[in-house]
Amino acid sequence: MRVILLFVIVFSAAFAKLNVGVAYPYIEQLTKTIAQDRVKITVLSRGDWDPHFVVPKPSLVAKIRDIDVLILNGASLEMGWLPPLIQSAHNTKIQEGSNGYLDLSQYVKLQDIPKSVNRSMGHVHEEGNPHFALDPDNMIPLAEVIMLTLSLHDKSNYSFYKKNFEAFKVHWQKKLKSYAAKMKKCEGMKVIQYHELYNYFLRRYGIQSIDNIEPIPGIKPNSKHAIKLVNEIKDLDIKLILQDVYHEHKTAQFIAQKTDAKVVELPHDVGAVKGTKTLDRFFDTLVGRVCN
Amino acid sequence: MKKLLMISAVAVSLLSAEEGTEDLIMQQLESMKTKSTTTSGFMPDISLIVDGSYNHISFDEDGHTDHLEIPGFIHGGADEHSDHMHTPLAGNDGFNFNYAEVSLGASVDSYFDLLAVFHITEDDFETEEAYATTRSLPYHLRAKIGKFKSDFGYLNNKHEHNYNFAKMPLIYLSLLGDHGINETGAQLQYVLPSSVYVMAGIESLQGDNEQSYGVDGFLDVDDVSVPGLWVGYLKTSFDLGGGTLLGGVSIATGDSRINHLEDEHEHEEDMEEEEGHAFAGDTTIYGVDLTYKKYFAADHAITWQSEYLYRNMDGTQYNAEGIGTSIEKKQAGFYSELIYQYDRNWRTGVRYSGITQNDVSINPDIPDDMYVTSAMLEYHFSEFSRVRLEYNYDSSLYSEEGEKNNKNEISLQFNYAIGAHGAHAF
Repeated sequence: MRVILLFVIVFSAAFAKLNVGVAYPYIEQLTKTIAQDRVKITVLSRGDWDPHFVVPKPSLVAKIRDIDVLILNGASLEMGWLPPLIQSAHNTKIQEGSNGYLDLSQYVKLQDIPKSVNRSMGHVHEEGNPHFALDPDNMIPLAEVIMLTLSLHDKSNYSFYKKNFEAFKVHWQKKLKSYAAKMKKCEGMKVIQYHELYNYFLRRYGIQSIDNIEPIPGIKPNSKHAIKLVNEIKDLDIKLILQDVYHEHKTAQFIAQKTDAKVVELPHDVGAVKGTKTLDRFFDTLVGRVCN
Repeated sequence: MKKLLMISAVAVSLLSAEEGTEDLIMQQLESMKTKSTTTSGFMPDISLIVDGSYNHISFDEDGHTDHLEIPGFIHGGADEHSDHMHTPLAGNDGFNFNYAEVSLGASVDSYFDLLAVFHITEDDFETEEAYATTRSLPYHLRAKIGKFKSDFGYLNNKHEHNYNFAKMPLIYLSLLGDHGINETGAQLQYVLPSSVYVMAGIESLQGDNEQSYGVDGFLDVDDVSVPGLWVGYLKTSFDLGGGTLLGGVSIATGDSRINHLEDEHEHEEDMEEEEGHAFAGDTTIYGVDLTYKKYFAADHAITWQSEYLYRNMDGTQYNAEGIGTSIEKKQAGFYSELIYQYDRNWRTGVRYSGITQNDVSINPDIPDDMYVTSAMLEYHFSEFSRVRLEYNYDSSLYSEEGEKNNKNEISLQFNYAIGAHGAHAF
C-alpha cells in the first residue's frame, strides 16, 4: 500500500513539471540556466523579430493557457502584443499582479527615463528604455529573480535552482571580467545606432551614442536626417554605425558610403544573428562586433 | 497508529518549513525590486480617436437618390433623427466629420476590468460599449457584462477605426446595420484545453437590432420575453504554411419586432404610394469566417479575410392598417478582402462584398444582384495617424421604382488617435 502511495507521489511530482512561458529568447536562456530540464519553457517570440512588434497570433493563446508562470521583459516592451494574449488565455495565474506574472523590468534600474512625454517625440517609453537585457551586468540579478520566482512555484527544486544560480553567477562574473577587459580599448568610442537599442550596453563600456538613424523613436529616417548624420559622422570622426537585424539596412549603407564609418550588424537578443544561440555566444558576438 | 501520527507530524513540520521558505523567497524578491510603485498610478487608460473624410459621390441617375434602398434588406426614405431630408444610403458629398471615439479603461480590482467606449457623431452621443470583464474566473472561463459588441463572426466586435475600409461590408450593413450586434447583455467564454486554440462562447442579449432583432411589440403584437437574442460561436486558430489561419462559426438567434410603421408616416402626403410596415417573428443568422495571415516581417504581411452570413427570417409582416401577411426571408451574402501591408507606412487592399441569395416569400421578383467593390490605399504617418484613399463602386442600391442606381464614391479619410495606445488585435 505504502509503495503504491510512494509511486503515486513520485510520479505526480515528476509529471507536474512547472510550465513557464517567456516573452523573449534571452529569458528562455536564463530560465534554462536555472532550471535546466526541470521546467517546460514556451517562448512567445523569436530573436530576430522586432521585440516591440511581435504578432499576437491566437495560436500563442493556446500556448499560454496552461502556463504557471509568465516571465516578461516589461517596461512596456510587450505593450503592443502581450496584453490581448493574456486577456484571451483566461489563465488566472498569469494576470498582472498575481505571483505567476514576473515583470523583469521591476528588478532593473531603468535608464533614459524621459522628463516629460509627448507623442510628438515619437514612440517613447515613459518608464524608461526597455532594452536593459543588452547590459551583460544585468544578467546576474535577472537570473536571481527568475531563480526565486521558479522556487516560489516549485519549492521542491529550490536547492537545485539555487545551486544552478550560484554556478551561473561564478561563471558570469568571469565573463563580465573578460568583456570589460575586451571593451577597455573601445572606451570613449563614438557610434551611431538605428534605434536606442544598445544604450545599456554602450554606457556600460563608456561608448558614446551620438545619434540615431531614426529621427525620433519609431519613425522612419528621412533624407534630411540622413544628411545631418553624414555631417555628424565627418565632424565627430564616428567610426561605427550599429545596425540591428529588423530595421531596414539601406539608410545605414547610404550613410556609410558617404563617410568612413563602417556598418556593423548586431544581435539584440539571443538568436538574432547566426551563432548566438546561447547567452554566452550572444554577448561574445555583441562584444566582438562592437569592439575588435 | 503511532506511525501514522509520526508521519503526519513530519509532514506538518515539512509543510511549515516550506511555508517559511516561501516567505523568505517573497521577501527576497520584494527587496530586489528597484521601484515599488509604477508611475501611472490609478489613472485609467484614456484615448480619443477622430475620423473625418472628404467624399466625392456620383450616381448613374443623379436625380433619383432620395429614396434609395437595398431591396429586401434596407428601406429607403429619410432618417428619422434628422430634420432635413437625409438619405443614409446616398452618403454625404464633400467634407464629413465621421465620428469621434473616446475610450476609458482600467482594472477595477483584482476581479474585474472595466472598459467604456463612446461613439460621438455631430448629432449623437452613443455608448457603444461599457462593460466589465472578469479577471479571475476559474476553469479558463471569462465573463463579460454590460453593453458590448458581440464576438459573433470576425468583424462584428471590431471598432470602426479598425475596419480596413470606411464602411462595413454590404452583408453586415444589410443584416445587422451600421454597428453590427452591439447589445446589452452577458457573455461567457471558454478556452478549451487543447494544443490548438479553440474558444467557445455564448451570449445572452437584450435583442435590439435595427435590421434583424427587436423586443418591443406594436399594433396588437406583444412584446417578446427578454432576453430576446442568443449568440453562440466557436473559434479556432492554428499555424499553417508559414502563416496563421483563424476560423469560426457563429449563430445569432432571437425574436424580431421591427417597426417601420412610424418612419414613413411623415412623408405620407408627398409619397402617397409609400407605406410603412412592420415585422414580427423569429430571425436566425448563421456566420462562417475564415482569415489567413502571413507575416514576412512584423510590419510586412498579407491578409485574406472572408465571411459568409445567412439569415432566415420567419414571421408576419404588417402594414399600417394592421393587416398581417405571413412572410419568410432567406438571404445570404459574403465579403472577401485581400490586404497587403508593405511596411510600417503603406497598406493597400481590395474587397468584394455581395448578396448571393435574396428569397422573400411575398416578393418573388425581388433582385439579388447586389454587390460593392472597394479598393483602398493607406499611408500611416505614425502608429497614431493615417490617411486612406478609398474607391467604392456600389451596385446594391435601387430606386423606389426598382431601378438600379449605381454609386461611385471616392473618399480621402483621415484618422487620428491620442492617448493610451492599445495593443492591436489579431
